[in-house]
Amino acid sequence: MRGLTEALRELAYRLLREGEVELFLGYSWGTLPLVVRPCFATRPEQVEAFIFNPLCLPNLVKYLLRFEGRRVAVVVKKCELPSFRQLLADRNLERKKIRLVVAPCGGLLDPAKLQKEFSGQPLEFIADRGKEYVVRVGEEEKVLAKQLYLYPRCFSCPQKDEDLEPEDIRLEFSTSLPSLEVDPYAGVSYLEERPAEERREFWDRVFKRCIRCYACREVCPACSCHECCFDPPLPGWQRTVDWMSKAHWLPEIYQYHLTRALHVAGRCGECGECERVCPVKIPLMLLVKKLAKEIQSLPGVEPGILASYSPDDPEPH
Amino acid sequence: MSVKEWEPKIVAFLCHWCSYAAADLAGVSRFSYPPNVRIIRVPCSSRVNPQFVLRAFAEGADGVLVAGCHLGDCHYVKGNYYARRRLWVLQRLLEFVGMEPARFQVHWISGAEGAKFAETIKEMVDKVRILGPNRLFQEVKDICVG
Amino acid sequence: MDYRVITQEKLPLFLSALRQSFLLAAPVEEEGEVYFRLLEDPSQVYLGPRPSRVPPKIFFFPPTEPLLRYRREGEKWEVFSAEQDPRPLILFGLRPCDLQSLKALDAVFLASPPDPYYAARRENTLLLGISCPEVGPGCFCVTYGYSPTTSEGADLHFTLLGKFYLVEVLTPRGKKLVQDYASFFAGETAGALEAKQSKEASLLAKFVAPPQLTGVKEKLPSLYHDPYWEELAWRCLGCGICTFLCPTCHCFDIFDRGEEEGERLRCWDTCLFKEFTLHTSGHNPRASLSARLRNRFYHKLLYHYERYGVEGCVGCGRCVVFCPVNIDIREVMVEVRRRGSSGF
Repeated sequence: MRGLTEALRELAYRLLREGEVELFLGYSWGTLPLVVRPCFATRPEQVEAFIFNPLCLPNLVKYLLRFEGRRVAVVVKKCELPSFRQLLADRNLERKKIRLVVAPCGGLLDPAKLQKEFSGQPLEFIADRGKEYVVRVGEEEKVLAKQLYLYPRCFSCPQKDEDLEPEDIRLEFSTSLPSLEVDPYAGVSYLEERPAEERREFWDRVFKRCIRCYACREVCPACSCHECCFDPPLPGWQRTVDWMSKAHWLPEIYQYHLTRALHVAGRCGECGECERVCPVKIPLMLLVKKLAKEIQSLPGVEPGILASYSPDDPEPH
Repeated sequence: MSVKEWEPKIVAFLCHWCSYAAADLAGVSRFSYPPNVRIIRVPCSSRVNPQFVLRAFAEGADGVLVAGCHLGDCHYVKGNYYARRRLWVLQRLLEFVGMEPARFQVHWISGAEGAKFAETIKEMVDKVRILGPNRLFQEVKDICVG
Repeated sequence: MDYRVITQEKLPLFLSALRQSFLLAAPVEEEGEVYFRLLEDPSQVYLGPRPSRVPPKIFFFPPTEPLLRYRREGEKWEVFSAEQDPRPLILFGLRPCDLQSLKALDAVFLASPPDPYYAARRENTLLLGISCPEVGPGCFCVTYGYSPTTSEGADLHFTLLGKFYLVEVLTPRGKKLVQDYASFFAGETAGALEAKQSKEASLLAKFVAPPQLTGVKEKLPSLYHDPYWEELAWRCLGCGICTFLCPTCHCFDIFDRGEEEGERLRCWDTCLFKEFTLHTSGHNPRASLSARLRNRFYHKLLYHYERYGVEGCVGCGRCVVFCPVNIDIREVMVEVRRRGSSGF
């Protein structure tokens, strides 16, 4: 997939050199094996660091908020477009200053699954053959079946890139993701069918791990409020009206996660970043998907659904 | 606290125009209902931010009731329609994390329905009493957090 | 120092026996990841290469520590002291970096006047260390002058050598424990010390270009206004992962929970949150993320040492491995050495 990386670098070089953008937001290799990180270039000579491959997991669109008002190009995958559109609407970003660079993605790979197989050896991606990737490990060429190594959210890839502006760029590369026909709500349905007691034990266990680092909020493109209800508005002793204390106890943790799920309900682009960044692996997408599933059953589904109503809504008990 | 001493604590968010008036009427008409309910008056059922409900449970409520005007009778024309959708979603979420459905209820009670108000409270307290203290959101002070 | 050995088969039996008289916590796997948990079944102990995600500082400096309880009766306030679990605790499976991290925390909490909550927990806990079986991708303990088998700070320290563990008995409390449970141990340690040394050497050989510490402290002051921090902060999310998972980070906030009746709590806080330095006036001396991120690295690499004479980073690699955007303190050290000048 060297060709794709080359094309990306050429594009970034051209855009930065001709002054079409001030900043190019993409990916580069990180300092750990199999880890790719966000990379920022403001000068043409910096583009050599850029790469694109199936390990480019982070969703970069929220970084746009840091550079509001500047001309920025940002690499996105198709699955991140809903979160981009939501951010654009929520924060009223100037669309004409943003150049989307839609990277052809044949499905991301899960570093945790690869780690087990290759125990930290660097991989070089050679080709995408639809159902499998060809990689080079050391001297050897290997074939990775997507079915085995795919990143969980890619099993329900939307594969749509609508609503692009003429200035946006689609990088061309032969890639494809076969339809894998996985029910995106499988995890939700499984838990729904468990007895209430078991559900409570499950959430108690995973929420007890929460260290309240707020990484899920910081990374979330739907969490873009200027002021968050979980940040104390006043320092220390002046505080009188906190929603909740800083204690790492279940009442606070439940309040935080359930509120966050409700706040992003109907606006979440399901990019899965909250779950990826969680240092204690709380399955946050289960909450989000549960709400998405319920909201889909409401009449007249549209953005901002929880800020509207229909006379035909279901009756609470 | 032994089980015998335990009494259900119900927090009721009542809309000023209908359900709060219904509570008033229940009192004036001398309908008896259990004293387990703490009433909080809100201008409209749609004033009830789902966070109010979560906070009530986190602070130790065993049940939460939201009551407003009948659909179509809202003083603010359509406030209770907004509330209905939002609270319905909240109910789905609370049940998903393991809460018993009876602990969080939404009812439409008009200012003329003092008897219905008393009956609703009575039924809810009975149901929550059978369920026992709320265990979801309960403090677990374990030394192995994180 | 005294030595014993214990066979691999006997280790779970030893842990089971400990459970009879102590609270026993050790790393276990929960949904595929490693955390310290109270041990219910000693065969569950995780002895593999990955360190616990959340460091064992939770046992000494818990995320939420009740300092006192209070209740109002009319005009009078009643205050009660908070209770700690009085049962003695044994922590099994502390890595050399976990043990080193306690040096940094002790310097903060045990300096005069000592923090009674931390001191009581430290006093009440026995530390059973274990040598690392592997060198992880984020590890850089060698930078700080110790190795994956260093036993310093433990009461007992276990190193797996073939089919048995070499047990180093390092303190009087450790010695008492070995005596009380003598039936699990054997005294015959012939060749074991040499075997540990060669294990240490083979582990040390696995570190690929660990960062150098020389010059970092001297050069940092010259870089305070360097644009490097701004560029680094572009990528930073501003979450609290690196600080909360850091075994030596110890910042906290104190507040009351409950109005008429409640508890005064001490909770983890982090310099990465913008409220951390927010003044009453509304002024914030670290208003930008780059200033906050810079502060974290200065604290880890310089301030802690300047203030306590103990390193503020132990090279455990948690912040490296769990940062969602790969902000790597090792890379920062390299950059500081490259960009900075000493004698500022």
